[in-house]
Amino acid sequence: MNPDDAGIIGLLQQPAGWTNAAGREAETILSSRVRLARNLQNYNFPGRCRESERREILDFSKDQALKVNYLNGASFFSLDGITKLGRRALEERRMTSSGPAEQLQAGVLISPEQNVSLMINEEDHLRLQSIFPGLDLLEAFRVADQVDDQLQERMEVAFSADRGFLTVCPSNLGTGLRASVLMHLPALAMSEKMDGLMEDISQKGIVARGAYGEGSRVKANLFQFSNRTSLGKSELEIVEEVEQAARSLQSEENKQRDDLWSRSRPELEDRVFRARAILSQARVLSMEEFLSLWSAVRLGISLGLVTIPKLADLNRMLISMQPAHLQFACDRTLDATQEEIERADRVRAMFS
Amino acid sequence: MLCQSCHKKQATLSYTEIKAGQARHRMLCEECALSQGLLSPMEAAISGLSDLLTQLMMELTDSGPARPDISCSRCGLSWSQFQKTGRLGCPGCYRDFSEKLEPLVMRIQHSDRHLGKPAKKAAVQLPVAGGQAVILKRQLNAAVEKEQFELAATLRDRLKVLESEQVRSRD
Repeated sequence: MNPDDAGIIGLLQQPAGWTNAAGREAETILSSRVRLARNLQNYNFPGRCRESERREILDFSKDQALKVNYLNGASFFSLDGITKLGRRALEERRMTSSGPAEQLQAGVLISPEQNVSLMINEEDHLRLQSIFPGLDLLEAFRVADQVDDQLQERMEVAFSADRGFLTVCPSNLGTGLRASVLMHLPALAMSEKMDGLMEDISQKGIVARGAYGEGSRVKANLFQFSNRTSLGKSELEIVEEVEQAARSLQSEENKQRDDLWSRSRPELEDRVFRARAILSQARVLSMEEFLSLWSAVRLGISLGLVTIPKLADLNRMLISMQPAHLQFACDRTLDATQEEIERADRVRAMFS
Repeated sequence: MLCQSCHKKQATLSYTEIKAGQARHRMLCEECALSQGLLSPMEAAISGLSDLLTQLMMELTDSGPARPDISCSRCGLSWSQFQKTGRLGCPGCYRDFSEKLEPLVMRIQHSDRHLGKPAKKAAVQLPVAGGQAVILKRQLNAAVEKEQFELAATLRDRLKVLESEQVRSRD
């Protein structure tokens, strides 16, 4: 493994905090995330800074952030210091966004519990993220808000009384807040109700995205829901709206699961057990195939059909079976076939 | 490339149709794909169409080139550069592009007023060109648009008072 990535290995060996499934809500809601975008008043935005200025911003913000709650004791990763594979692993963990690929003098601080991270010099100077398991947007916001307050005591951020926190893209203007929930909706996705629900959600100002892949393709029935606008509402209003949308989708999903169970139990069981059979026996497994079977097994766990692995283990597999994580775990470069064999081996081990 | 159906919007979807063993490949915008039933509302909701940034970029393309182009006095970014990327250059852009940004922000955010938490350590507040009167006018327009006529009347009165005060102070 490349010595530049030495620091990452320790990070990858610890489970990401948001994968700790807890409570009945965890069956449909994997995680709650809050992101705040902030910029320093006295510098141009990262895209229009000289490299030397970006260096100053990075050093200054990092030093200050290491003194605030949750981020003291954080690990720092310089995004131009680590390899492409290292960056990919951080994205797979949802600690960084895919962002501008080759931006110099960018970095990320990740808290010891891996639930708070601060990206520096990505699109905005600062992108603070807090991520918690299950439906807990309020807690995610409370933590991010506290860190933000402490950061603002230490640096002058760009703000206008009128327009709020000034961001590189006007779509983040105002609160700079994006609140999102990651949901697993296998029963709804099978039903005809989905289109109508998506329209309702959209009219309530909530944006839906597939959690993996680009555009309209949804994989593993994983959906991400977040607020569309960030201006003209208080942070708590935004958080509440997303949380309400998540609750209503959750109750629809549960109704649909009950319905499927009572109407077509044999077919449902067949689907779950076939998926489990393949995952526990396969010798070659692509990410694509893994994700679709993963979804069926996850549904099986919440229906009580599957007891091994546990929900939290399955959540962790969502990260650990991704390409960069697999390469780090084996400590060698894998070609496409080797990767699929390695994935199959590791998945099988989880099912025995 | 442009949508091969309406020839107006940017094509974002590639669509392959197989008819009588012949594959026909077309590039479409999401609206056309939706209206032709090639994309379900769910897929559309999840796709880029509902994305604020995509909407912003569409608004920007629609708003045409600024003539003469203006630039931010602090970072030098020109409005036409912003139109290409959807990304501003510095906090000062919000002041210098204020007039052009205002309708854009209103359309994508459905508001022009920050109601969230204030900055902690009083960061420099950007002056609003025209001061209080501009803010009142903006609120007035919003009230009329929402048919809140009582509020509009109050705002109009306040604006009149303010303007007469400004005239007096100039005298």
